[in-house]
Amino acid sequence: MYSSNKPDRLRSGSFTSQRYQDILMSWGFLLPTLFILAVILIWPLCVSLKMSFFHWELARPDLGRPFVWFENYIQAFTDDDVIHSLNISAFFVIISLAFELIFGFIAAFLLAQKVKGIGVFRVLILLPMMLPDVVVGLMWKLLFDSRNGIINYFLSLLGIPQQIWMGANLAFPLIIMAEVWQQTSFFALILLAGLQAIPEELYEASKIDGATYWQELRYITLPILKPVMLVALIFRTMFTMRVFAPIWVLTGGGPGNATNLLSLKIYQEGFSYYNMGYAAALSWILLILTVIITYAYIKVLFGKEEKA
Amino acid sequence: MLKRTGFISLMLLLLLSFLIPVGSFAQDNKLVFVVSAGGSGRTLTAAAREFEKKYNVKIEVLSYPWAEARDKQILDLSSGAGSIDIISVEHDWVGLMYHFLVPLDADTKQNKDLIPSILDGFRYAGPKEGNKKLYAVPARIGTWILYYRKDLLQQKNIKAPETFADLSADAKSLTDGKTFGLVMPLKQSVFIVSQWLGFLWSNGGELLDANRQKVLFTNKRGIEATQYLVNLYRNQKVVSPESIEYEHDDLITALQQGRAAMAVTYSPYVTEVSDPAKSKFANEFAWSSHPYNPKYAKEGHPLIAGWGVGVNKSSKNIKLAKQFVQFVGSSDIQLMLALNNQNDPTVASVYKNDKFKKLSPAADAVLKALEGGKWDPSFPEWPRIQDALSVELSNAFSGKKTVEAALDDAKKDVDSILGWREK
Amino acid sequence: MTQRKNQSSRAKKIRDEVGIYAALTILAIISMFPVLWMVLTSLKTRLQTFAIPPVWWFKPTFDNYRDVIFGTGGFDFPFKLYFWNSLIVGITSTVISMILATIAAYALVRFRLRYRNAIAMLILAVRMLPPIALVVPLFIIFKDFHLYDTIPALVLVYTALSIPLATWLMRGFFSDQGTMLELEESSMVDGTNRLGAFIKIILPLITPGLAATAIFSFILSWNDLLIALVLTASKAATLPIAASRVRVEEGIMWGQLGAIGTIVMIPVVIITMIAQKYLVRGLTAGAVKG
Repeated sequence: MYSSNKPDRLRSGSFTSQRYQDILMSWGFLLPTLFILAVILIWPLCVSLKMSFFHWELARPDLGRPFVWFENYIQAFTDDDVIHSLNISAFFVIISLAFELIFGFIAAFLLAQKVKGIGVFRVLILLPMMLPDVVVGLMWKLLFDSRNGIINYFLSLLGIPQQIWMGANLAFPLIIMAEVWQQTSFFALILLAGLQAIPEELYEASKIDGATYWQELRYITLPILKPVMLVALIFRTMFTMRVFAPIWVLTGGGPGNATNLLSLKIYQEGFSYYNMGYAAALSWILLILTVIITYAYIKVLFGKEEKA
Repeated sequence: MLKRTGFISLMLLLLLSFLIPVGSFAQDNKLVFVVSAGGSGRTLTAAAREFEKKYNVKIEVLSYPWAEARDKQILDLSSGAGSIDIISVEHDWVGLMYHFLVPLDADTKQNKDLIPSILDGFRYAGPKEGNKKLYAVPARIGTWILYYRKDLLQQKNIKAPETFADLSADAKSLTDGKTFGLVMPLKQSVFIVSQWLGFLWSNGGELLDANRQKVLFTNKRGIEATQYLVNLYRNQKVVSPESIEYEHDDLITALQQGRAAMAVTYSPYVTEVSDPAKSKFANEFAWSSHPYNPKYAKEGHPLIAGWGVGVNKSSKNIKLAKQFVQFVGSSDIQLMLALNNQNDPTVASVYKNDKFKKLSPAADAVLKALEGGKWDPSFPEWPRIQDALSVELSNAFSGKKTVEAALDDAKKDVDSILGWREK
Repeated sequence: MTQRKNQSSRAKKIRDEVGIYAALTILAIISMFPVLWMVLTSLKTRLQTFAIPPVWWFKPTFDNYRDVIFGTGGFDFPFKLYFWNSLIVGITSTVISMILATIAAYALVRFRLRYRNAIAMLILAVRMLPPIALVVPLFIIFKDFHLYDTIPALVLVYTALSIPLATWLMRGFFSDQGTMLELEESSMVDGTNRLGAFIKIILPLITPGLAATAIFSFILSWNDLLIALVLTASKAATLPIAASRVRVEEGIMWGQLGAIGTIVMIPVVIITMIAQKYLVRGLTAGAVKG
């Protein structure tokens, strides 16, 4: 830990000029970022929060925009469909993330090796997250088509009967697989970058002390990776909660509502029914759910440690 | 110092990107037209090009996939932005868009060639309004007809089926393990509902009552029609099993690949199955009208669907836009579109035209279908009702629920949708 | 004795390498399989695409690429314009967001601001609303400011959307405050000022972070569809909108999808190839004591 003289802040009395310069500089650094976020994100955030308390259908100007208090939220929580969507969304996120974390770690370690041609492997293995969602969804649709898809063809060669992938019970595992395939490289890239940021000296020093591979992993690598791992988890949770296009293209939320995640429901309400107030309420419910899950991660992983 | 240089270079970068062309809204003598990519888009674009040539006006055509075309147009219409002048109005969208479209009755009165039943599809009256007004000029029509493989039917020495019983029997003889008698879009989507509606009506059933307050599809005829279809798939197994995950494009592919001998589907797909570049059996298809149940009906009552072109109330070029939409619905242009773009016309004269009849072998089937055909209700609640129906119908076909249970649950959903609207 | 030890350790090294290559290859095949299929599809006709058993050896056709690039076969739109738009928007928003995020992260880590955690949380929180809820308000703002269908509008939005992840990533990469201050202090003792310390000492440490951030930011704007759809019409439209055009009323134009998917992939691959060179371990040049 920092062992030099007491931080300026704790010194009683007035600020030093250095301290004053520091504050100015830091706010100067932060201002452009905060400004852009305010205009592009904070303002729409407020608008959408406001919208969620009104009944606003885009295609029904004759109904006006009456203020309806919490009606949208009540309607959401008393709708079985919505509760179901919340459940499977949570399920979807937790399972996908588990797989992505495990595979991401394995991939990151492999890609950190100093072997010849590792650059090629990096590009190949990181490729999936670089494709547009719609393209990925459509490609899986082609591959898993039960009649003309090549996956079923390979299975038939192995003697396994044709599966109807997008119907019955296979739809949910299918979308999880598609998501894990596409986004594992998110973790892989971040963890890889994290691994590369660990100073070589630490490993050299520990080797001199006679540490084994697993000890190195546990006492050096993992602790240092923790901050970036947390960032990856938080953002991946956020993004996975709202993933929409690949699933919409593959299953359309079906069969029944087996794969009707909350993100699909929001799209449906907002852009099939143009029920903007309700869609906004659902979006805020999604946001709150995301915050809850994220806060849980921070507590679990960071606990009492001070944040960087 | 870092702060200063960073700040300056940032400003320079932002400035640079601002120098790139700034957009502006529609100007004089220019129209912006959004179309849905695919058959209707190609057709309407062709009409736009003709208009450009004839009147020396620039029309900017923006083509988007179906759902996105609807979203973009509704966003623009409802916000009053006026950046889109001419609107592609699918029949189902009239109820969503009519608030923002210019009524076109006065201008369209002169066009006596437009088929009245088709015009009706683009008229609408809001809940508290009296007479229906016309909100789009019909440009392209489609209906559900029977597609069948001449060669396969000839092999088994059977005629094209006309009644429900015929269809079922013929499908059975045409199913031999590799090929199936029928293929249907049974995935939970709007297409399963469209498939079902024709059979519901051709069995004498009804969707809703005239006031759109009561559900009628759970009566005896409704259940019968639904059961008939479900039996084809589950009991008689004359429908290809993977149909359960099919939408319309998979159905087209199945026909193109020869997986099924027959299908009751949308007339514009005639071009898809007859195209040698896409279809293995391009020359083997023939068409006839929608099957019906002689117990309750004298002819098929298929679903009619179609596209019209409307004018944005907030457009800055209303006069020019109105001129264009009338142009698209005119006899000459409809003939041109029919001949050059395989468009199914909305005017009577083209159906009587010899050249057209030769070019479009399905023309007779389509005309006949238009006589008995019906539109689906295009009021704003329809998308929700359609989605509810698609879920329950899919449940019936997958065997998750019995037909009665599925229709009952659908009724509950539809009732609550209609009831919620009552407020 | 030593010779045998060297031999067995070399053998072990070779075994390790083979193992690593094998694992890498398996991962690569899993990652690439759908992509390869996409590229193959782009070279097939529609009939070949649906052929079962699948056609492995076939004469490739470039019609799909021709359709996409030159606008034939019903694909009527200015490909070059959309490509150029995507490139400009992508690069500009990436550069801006990286700069802003890095200095913001530096400020949050380096200075003991009282509210730095709150600010970091705020930056995270604003990103949590799904973009669907953003588009209608954004459409209205940009329409009112006459920025509808313009490049700057897209640049602004994508920058704003990239910044939260970028800031938090860079924040994770700036080591804990103690080490940073030590490194700065020790280099400043040698006579360099803070800026010099930043460039010489800190920057090399966080290069991997910068590389990762660049990739993420670019991908976000390169692949985004929803915002581009709502905020552009014809002048500022980007490649994802072009890609979505393969979904026509009659179904999906598979060949053209493959073609445009392949084309869209290439710039991202190039950027990744360049950026991944920076994913190497930086040395602290002996500045840390023990």
